Amino acid sequence: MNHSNTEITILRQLKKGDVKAFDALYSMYSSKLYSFALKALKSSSLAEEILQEVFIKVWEKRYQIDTSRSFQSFIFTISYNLIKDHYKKKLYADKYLQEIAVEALYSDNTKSNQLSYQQIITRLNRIITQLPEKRRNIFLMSKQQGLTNKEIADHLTITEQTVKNQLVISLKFIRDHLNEEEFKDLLFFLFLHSNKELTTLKNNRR
Amino acid sequence: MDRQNNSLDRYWANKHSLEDKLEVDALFSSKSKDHELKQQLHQLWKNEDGSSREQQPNHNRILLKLHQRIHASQQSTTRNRVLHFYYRIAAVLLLPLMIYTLWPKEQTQEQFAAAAPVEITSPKGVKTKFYLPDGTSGWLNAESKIVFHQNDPNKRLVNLTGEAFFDVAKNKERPFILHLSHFNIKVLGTRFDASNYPYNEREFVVLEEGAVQVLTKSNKEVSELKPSQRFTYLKSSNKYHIEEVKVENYTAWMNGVLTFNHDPLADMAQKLEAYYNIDVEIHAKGLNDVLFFGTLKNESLENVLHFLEITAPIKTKIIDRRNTTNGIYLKRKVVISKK
Repeated sequence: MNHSNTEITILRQLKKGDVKAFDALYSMYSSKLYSFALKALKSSSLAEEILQEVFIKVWEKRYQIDTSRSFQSFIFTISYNLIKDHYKKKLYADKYLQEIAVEALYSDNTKSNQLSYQQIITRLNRIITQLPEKRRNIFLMSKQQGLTNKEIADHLTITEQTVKNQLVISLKFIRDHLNEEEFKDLLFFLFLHSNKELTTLKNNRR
Repeated sequence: MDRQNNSLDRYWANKHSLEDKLEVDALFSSKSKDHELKQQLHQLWKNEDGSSREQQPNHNRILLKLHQRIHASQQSTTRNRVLHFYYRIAAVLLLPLMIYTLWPKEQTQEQFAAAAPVEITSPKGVKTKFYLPDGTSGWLNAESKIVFHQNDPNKRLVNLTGEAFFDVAKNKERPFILHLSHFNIKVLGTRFDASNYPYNEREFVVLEEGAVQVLTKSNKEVSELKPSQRFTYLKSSNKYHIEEVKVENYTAWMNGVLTFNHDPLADMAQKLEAYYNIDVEIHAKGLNDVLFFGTLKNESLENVLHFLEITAPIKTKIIDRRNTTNGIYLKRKVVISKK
């Protein structure tokens, strides 16, 4: 990997504790690092956190930097480890939404491929907030917190059958609305492009 | 293998389906695929030129934060080194004489040296920019005070009287805990506004970015706030509620700028309340279609009210701060009525 003499000079200054050298490295690599982390994690706040953590490590470990080796690989290694950790944490938090999506979309395997992952997650979040409060609580206790039907029933002093029924209703609501919204989006899209096609679509549906 | 690579490409390009995401999850989660993941990420890193400027964050703000954190870590290490040096001398000189009494004393002294709290105050009518030793920065509104305690290695404790906006430096190992009169706010790293004037009826927190937990004084969780939400506690009725608000209305005071953007009377009143720390009472039915717009910078309340009276069919009256029977000071109040 090609690293210029200027960069070696900057790294030597950094090892002496020169903050200006630190600033120079920041301006050289911050945009690249941020875009990289954003692509991998799909979250601007996490990408910003990675950016900060990497540069704090650069400062803390400045004495260990080997000026004869590529600085790019040095920061790549730090960011690789951080990104891996953050990805897993985020996955853990989002896992329940993915499971709902799989459950809701693959039960009728017609249209699932047309939706992007981001669309599914945004919609799911929106649809879940539309559930009536009590039903939503039962649903989240089951899917998000992973409680069994019996545990939920005991906690809310209702029967296990009620919990089951509520969960079935919630899932049906979600399934219907995922598809319904898809239709709405489709209509809107067509409306933007051509009114004629919209009429054809309506006729076809009849 | 090929299928997986295509999934990954679509994931990088933000065009991934649910199936693609599940493939990528498997790549990140399985230990046996670590090497492959590293290669793939390295490829992504090499191809990234960071030229998509439009999605970049405010790099000046981040660099400033980094400087503060570097500065904070340097200060604490040099001080520890100096202390350590003196303790060694003290130990050599005094150990033979006072071996029993010095042992516990040395420990408490060390704690005291690190414990010196940082106190920042902002007098009446003045807004103060502050930087704390942990890298946190922000603005302190008029008649406000913060005290930053540094002695606990596991958390950062801050007391607030009055109003302040915090841009908290991220540090997961040391959560930032803000003590208000009736609640505690627990933060890992975020931007938020908190108001805790002893003479006000409301104690509130408005979140701009990230997440904060609202805790009782005994640190039991009350709720978690999302961006643009306001948590308000009403002292007289001992009740709280959470609502969606426009964050700009609560942060404008920092810049000394008051902006009305075709605001209806109620919103305009809300902005005046936050900016001048007053209560506004509206006795004007049928003025809902009047919209206010304009930008005012560092004007006195009297001047602002005067402008409003000229531009809209309203009249205003200021009622000065007074004491109620149960000992609570009421804010200065403005009454708006129809002309």
